[in-house]
Amino acid sequence: MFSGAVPSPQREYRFNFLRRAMIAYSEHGLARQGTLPYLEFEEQWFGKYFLAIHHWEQFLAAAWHALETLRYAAVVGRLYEPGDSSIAQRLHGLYNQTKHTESRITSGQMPPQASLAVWLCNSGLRSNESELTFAETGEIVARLGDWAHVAEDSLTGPERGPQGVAGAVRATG
Amino acid sequence: MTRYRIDPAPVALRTDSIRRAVLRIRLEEKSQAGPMFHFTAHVTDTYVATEISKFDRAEIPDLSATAPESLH
Repeated sequence: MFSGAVPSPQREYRFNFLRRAMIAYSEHGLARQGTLPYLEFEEQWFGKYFLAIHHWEQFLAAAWHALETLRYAAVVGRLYEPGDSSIAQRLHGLYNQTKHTESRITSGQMPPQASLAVWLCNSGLRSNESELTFAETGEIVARLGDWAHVAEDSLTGPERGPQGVAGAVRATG
Repeated sequence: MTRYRIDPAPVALRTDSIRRAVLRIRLEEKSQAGPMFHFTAHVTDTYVATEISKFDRAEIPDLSATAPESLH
């Protein structure tokens, strides 16, 4: 997994980044596999929809935590600037909205008459505050893959890595 | 196996008629399907998921060709 000895805490940070990146990759695929059959099925089979939403939520969590772990490892700096509308900021927004659904219901922060904090639309994932297109979710996975190569190399620091996830994601946001 | 169906709703359900519409569930004998509910767009968008009635296509990148070993 790692080339060369990686001292603590970099070893733990990088291991957890790789673990979460792998889960994000896997959940993106499962979310896709769950979403497309729902659309292809003639009837509105809501069980399929909620299974797809479940995997999208898992993807949001794993992808965000993977980026956060990179930040803890000081492999990247700030993931986004407040209000920059970058992919990273919107990913964080959607993740937070799924994580805090109950408190958002309590505080009246849900869309009118809505029961889900994040839902599916033709362009991608949407909440009443954020949106990520499906192309952008794919971009996130691609960037995590780029950084996985960096994380595996103990000699590689941020100055030798690809354009930061934050940077790349910000640039395309 | 039994599945449940709501009659095709008379167009444009008003909010106050939703309860009656939901109660109009009738049983329908099917051999293979499990329980299934049919609601109007208004009911699904309100009680199931926002915009679900308009969600009919998704161009999700297929990343299965991406080498997953890069993430291992």
